[in-house]
Amino acid sequence: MIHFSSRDKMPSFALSLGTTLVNKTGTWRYVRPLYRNLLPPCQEGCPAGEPVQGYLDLVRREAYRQAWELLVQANPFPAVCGRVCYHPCETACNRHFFDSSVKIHHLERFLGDLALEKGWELPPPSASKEAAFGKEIPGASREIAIVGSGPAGLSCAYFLARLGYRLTVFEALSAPGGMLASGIPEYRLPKEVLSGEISRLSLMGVKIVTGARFGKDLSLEDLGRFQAVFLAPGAPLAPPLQIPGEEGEGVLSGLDFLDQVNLPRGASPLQAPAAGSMPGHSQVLVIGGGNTAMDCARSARRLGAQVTVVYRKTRSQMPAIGEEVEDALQEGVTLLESTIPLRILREEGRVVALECKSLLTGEASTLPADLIVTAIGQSPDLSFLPGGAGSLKGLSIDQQGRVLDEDKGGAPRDPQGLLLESRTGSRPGSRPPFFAGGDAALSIPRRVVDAIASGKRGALGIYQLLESRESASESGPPGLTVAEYSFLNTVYFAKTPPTPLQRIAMEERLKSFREIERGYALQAAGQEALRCFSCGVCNSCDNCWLFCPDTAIARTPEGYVIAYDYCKGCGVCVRECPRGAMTMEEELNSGGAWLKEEMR
Amino acid sequence: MSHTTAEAKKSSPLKKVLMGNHAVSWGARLCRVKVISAYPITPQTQVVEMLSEMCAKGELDAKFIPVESEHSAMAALIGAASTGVRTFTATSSHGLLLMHEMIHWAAGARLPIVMAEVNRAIGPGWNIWADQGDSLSQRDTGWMQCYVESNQEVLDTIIQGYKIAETLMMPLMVVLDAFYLSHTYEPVEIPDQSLVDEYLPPYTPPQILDPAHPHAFGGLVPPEHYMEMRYKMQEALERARPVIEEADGEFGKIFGRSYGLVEPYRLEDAEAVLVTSATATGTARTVIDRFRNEGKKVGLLKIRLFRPFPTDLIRRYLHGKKRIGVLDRNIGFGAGGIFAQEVKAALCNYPERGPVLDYIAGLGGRDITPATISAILNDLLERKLPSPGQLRGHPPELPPQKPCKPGGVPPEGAGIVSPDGEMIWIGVRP
Repeated sequence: MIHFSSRDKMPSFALSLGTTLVNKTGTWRYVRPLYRNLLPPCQEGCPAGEPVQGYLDLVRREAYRQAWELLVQANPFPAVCGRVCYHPCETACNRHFFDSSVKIHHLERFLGDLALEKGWELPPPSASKEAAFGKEIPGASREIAIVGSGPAGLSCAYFLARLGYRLTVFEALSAPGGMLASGIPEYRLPKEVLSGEISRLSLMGVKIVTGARFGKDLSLEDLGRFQAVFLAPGAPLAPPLQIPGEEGEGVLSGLDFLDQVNLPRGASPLQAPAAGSMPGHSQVLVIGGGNTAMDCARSARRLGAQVTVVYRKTRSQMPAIGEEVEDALQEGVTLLESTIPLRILREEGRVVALECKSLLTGEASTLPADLIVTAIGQSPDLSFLPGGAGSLKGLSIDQQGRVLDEDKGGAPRDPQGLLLESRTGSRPGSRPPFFAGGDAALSIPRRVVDAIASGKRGALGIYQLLESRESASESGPPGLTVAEYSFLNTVYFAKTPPTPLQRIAMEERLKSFREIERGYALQAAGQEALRCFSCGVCNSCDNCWLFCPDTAIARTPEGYVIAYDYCKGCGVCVRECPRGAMTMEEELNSGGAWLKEEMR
Repeated sequence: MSHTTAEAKKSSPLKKVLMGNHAVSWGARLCRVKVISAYPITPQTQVVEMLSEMCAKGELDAKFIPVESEHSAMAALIGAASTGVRTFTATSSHGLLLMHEMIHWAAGARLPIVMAEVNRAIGPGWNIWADQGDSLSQRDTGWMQCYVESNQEVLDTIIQGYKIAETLMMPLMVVLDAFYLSHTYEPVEIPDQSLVDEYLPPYTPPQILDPAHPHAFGGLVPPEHYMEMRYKMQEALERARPVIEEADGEFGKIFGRSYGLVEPYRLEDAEAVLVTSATATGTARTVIDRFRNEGKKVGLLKIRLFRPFPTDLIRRYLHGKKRIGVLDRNIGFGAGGIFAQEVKAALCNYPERGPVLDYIAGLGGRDITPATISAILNDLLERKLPSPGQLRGHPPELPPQKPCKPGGVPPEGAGIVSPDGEMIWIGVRP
């Protein structure tokens, strides 16, 4: 009983005189809330493991440079990928269950373009921590050779350079970029964007030697002085249609066609000085249904031709990105589905038509044509392999990118035991370990971002081998659960349509190879970044802090802190977390330290 | 009716034609309330609508908390006010009744919450019109109650209300008649914000709920202390008159209008006095004037402040009056009109008192017309009343009574009828 000396000494209403901090209500608890970030599905869906949520959050806060720096820790070519990637991140985006996916690739492009515009450089490799791998950079500066300057080779070079290695990239052609340079038309990927992103590698000290074809200008022995070699020669060979009439002029592989389209203005026999005319070719047939086929068809349209795409399956089965097919049709390309070519008809050696058959009706038909472009697949040129491995469909590699001996059932004998040696039947002591990636590797899907990811894996494999590090996980920290849509509390989100990119008018599109989409301006980027749910990742929205009925959550500069002395384990914070970044943990099963302490 | 004060500060106030509900919103806005929580109910809805718009437009820097009930609205304000901010709500009728538990709590927690209460009848039968039954059912909760007569008074009383509530640390409700004020447009002077700021400085609470210094609020109080706390509440209201008079006086000095706790009208030589409240007062004044012109000595006393009940002022103004009638737009079932009960109680121990008759009129929004008031005044002047000493020391016989049949009409003598046919009750037969 408290005695007051007078009525005036009493509080005027029921108020405890002492602090209530003595009342440790946390002892009532048997489950407790925890902050536990999950892996956002976008990041899981990205072969390169881009920390999408992270850079979108930084865009939202207008910390653009930080956003870009975070992005390029996972992918050196955001301006490229933001344009040409098939964005599996958006397929995985939880927002598509709600209204429609966040336009991640537009934001990626926005950051890539902004970095090029501002001339941002990467922090030097001497930075004490290398967040791409979460490890210290190796002390020794070793030399690594890369064969092929496509996305896989350059990606490998990039990550090794960031780790402090010295890199030399050998490119067979006269300019770096691989398929990015020769296989993608300008209206999808402007040359200055590609060269801008590649030149950043040169600024990092990566040496690119062009005109050096492996097996011809460059021998195995030449590579002997390097500590490791990454092979990324690509898949530049086009298989034949294997139908009569294929030999001779008027039939081009898609890669050759695009290569000519991509030659500097005026240097291509296909091109007049400007787009809009394609001498001698008014009727073009493209055979195939992939992205290369679409690129060829749309390029030919821009050169003034009437274009029909002949594909053996239906539109929905086409491997090309859906938007590409849509754009092609908008631009006046005709699509002939479920049709296979039978033979090419020629008059006086000139191609005049393609005879083909519908798989639906079995009827044959003849399509007039004066140029036929085949885009039915690609295979690597492995003629550089000593012992002649030209018949191989691709290089076998393991998860670390090490080249495997197919004859030994695919298992690496030891870090040095590689295909190249067993094929040659000799084992020179000084031969460096070989890694591989990109289109030449059997297990890598032939897409830009997968090539970039394989380069990154190769870099990690080389780093682990040379520095004797334990193997690290593929993408994201190990053991992370992916944040599913059902984990979210969508009450807190409003349906918002995506922010579209502006496109140039259709009539403008066919007049030139000008890029058809204009990237986001700052405001549009911020607006779109706001649509990110931040699945499974706390973005300091304060909901837990606001809702805690016991004010047991504190906001600190380092994040939220739960005062377990007072948290009763009601779970309101977990329930009200919009993004599933909190969880409840049963304490008796997970140690119950507090209980033991209480009982003592 | 306000008294214009000569020494009012010079300002160029904005005049707007406002409905009573919007005068409420403007009052709250001028007081710079920080938290508003309310649930819409006819006839109060426009109060909340306008406040939410003011918040949304950024004209009022306040947190507007939408809730699912009036109980939650008051609970939210109790929490908010405990953290030391100025809070506001508005409700009516069944909304107020649903709030009842929290109404008690707000007073017991000594929180200076101000609320606008639009007087509306209680169902069933379902009725949305003016009636004092809702606010008077909260008579004993500890809330101060101010019954106002014009839209200007609505706005002014909200501002005065915070001054009073925050001085006494007791909540206050400003009560306005449904439709007669809530939905009627009148010219209202909107005082200059800087003058309101001068009159009403930011609220500085003596004790606040602060997570950094946690205390238990509203916890268990044993019998040894509970009574003392209740005593403090009673003491605060019993000694409130100087505080309220000062708040009203200072308001008059700054804004040129003050209202008093009660308002006498032509009382000096009046023999019969009608006691009124709220909007019926305006009608009553004109009828009093008419009776005066006919040479009848009648006067009027308006009660503005119902809680704390201004007993001293009632005694002073009704001193020696021969006949007192109280007009009640409410009914305390089984006991008569509530204002009448209060007036009787105030005079009970006062030797120089006259008999008090209570007249029930205008329930559920029935108009109180000049004819109604005339009928009441005539009855008050003419009714035969027992004279003192008539019983010669004997207790009265119990009058014979037959139980009323459901659906029965008032027996002869229980009611009077106004010339235009409206029924008026005599609450309790004299």
